[in-house]
Amino acid sequence: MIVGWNIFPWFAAATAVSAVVASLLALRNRRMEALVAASLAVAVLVTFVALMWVSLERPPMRTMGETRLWYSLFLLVAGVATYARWRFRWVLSFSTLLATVFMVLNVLRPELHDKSLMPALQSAWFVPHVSIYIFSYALLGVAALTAVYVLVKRDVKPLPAVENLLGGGVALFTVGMLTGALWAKQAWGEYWSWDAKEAWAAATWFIYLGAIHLRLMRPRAVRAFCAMVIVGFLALQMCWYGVNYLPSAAKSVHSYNRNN
Amino acid sequence: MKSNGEYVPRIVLAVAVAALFGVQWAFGDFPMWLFAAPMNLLVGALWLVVLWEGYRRRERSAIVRYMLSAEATYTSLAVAAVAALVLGLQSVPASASWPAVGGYIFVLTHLTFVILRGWRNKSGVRLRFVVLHGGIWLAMASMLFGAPDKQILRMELGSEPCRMALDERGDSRLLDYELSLAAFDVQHYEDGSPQRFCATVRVDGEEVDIEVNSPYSPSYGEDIYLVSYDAKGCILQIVREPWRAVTATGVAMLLLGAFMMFMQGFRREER
Repeated sequence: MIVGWNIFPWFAAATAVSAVVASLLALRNRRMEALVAASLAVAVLVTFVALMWVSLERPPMRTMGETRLWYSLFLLVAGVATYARWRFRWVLSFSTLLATVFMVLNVLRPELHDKSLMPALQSAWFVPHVSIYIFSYALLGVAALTAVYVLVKRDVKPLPAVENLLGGGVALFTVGMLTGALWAKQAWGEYWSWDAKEAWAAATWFIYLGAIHLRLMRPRAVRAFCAMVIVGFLALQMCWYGVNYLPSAAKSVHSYNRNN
Repeated sequence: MKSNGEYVPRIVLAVAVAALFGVQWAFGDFPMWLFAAPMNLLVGALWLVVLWEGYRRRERSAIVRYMLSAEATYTSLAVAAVAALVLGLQSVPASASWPAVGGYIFVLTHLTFVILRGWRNKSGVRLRFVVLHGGIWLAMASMLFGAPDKQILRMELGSEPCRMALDERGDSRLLDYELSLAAFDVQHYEDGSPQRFCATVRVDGEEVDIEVNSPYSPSYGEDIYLVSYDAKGCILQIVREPWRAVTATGVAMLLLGAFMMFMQGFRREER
């Protein structure tokens, strides 16, 4: 194999350097330069994925290492898209950090490059499902922190930021849920099976929809709105990792890190 | 100021909730199978006509006004959130219980009224509103009205040709095609964990591979899934879902709506 993991450290380094430069430019509010540098980071990683694809003669989507490659790529793309649209200065730093973590893991743990996934995880839906969720968690987390600031400081100036973060976060959360449902249909024939993680995801979604509708229908209810954004994020914690500690998680279709 | 009639809808609602739990306690689950096609189409059409006539008379009906209110929106979302947790936390799925079906119909009724009222404003059709709410409406309606027509069949398949499968109630169902197992391939990783299961199945003589995440579709709305295997053969699940196109349209609209919300935020379109 001419193109493979042996040359990945070079591509990873080039991607990380471009992404870090983009993050620094974004923090200094130099928007166009930041977008160019971030797009360059994406282009470098896309090139590596394309080379792997051609070299392997199949989509590089079957091993743990290959999955991490896509995580990095999706996180960088989501970061550029969110920054281009909503101009949050911090967002490129966040996507760069997470993408770099996954790339560094691929460099330091080469034994996982060939560790194939279990059959249920071998799906084109896997990477978008997980990485879109990761990104929505970030937006919703910052929305909750900003809502805490509004409540504690009694300062309504950041409210538009809470709205934008919530809108983007809930939109991506919805896409995460739908890609999961379509995947479940393909894997088991059912869109939704109400296991613990799915139940908390649905409950979280309804709480966030409640926050959005409250904001639109009662614009003066600022405190109630902020409280719901915070409650939604607490429910999200249950959905994200809290369910692993519930007894019902033992038979969850989402418990892949267990020995079952 | 609330007029004297405004407490009526809440009393009706409370009585309905009590009645649903009472019926569940007395008779068990909702008889979904009674509403297989064409009953579901008839009942669905009748339900829509009643909602439309009710919507036209909303000035005179306290119940319709309640079903159009912000309180009904919050109640719908709260019912949905609580139902999600109850369904998720109990070990036996109860999605066909009377309270679950009743809550579902309440949410869908509210959604229908809201769409009738809000699909356009003075400046025209509210595209994002229609795409998002219409998408949820189609997905939810196809799940409810499609449920009686959906079939989940199982069959244990060996090398002998077979066209009989069992439905969820244990009754035999005849397939439109004949299946037999030609080969079964299992691969493991070095640590013993599973890597690949693949059943090669003859469908009316034609060999197809069925794997996890890769079902075989013999016809529209019908898929054959590989569930598990043992020494005698494999277990297949056949899912028949005639309403699939409606569900798929709803999901596609929701994806489009999510994209629009990501690009535009959730602020009202007229602002």
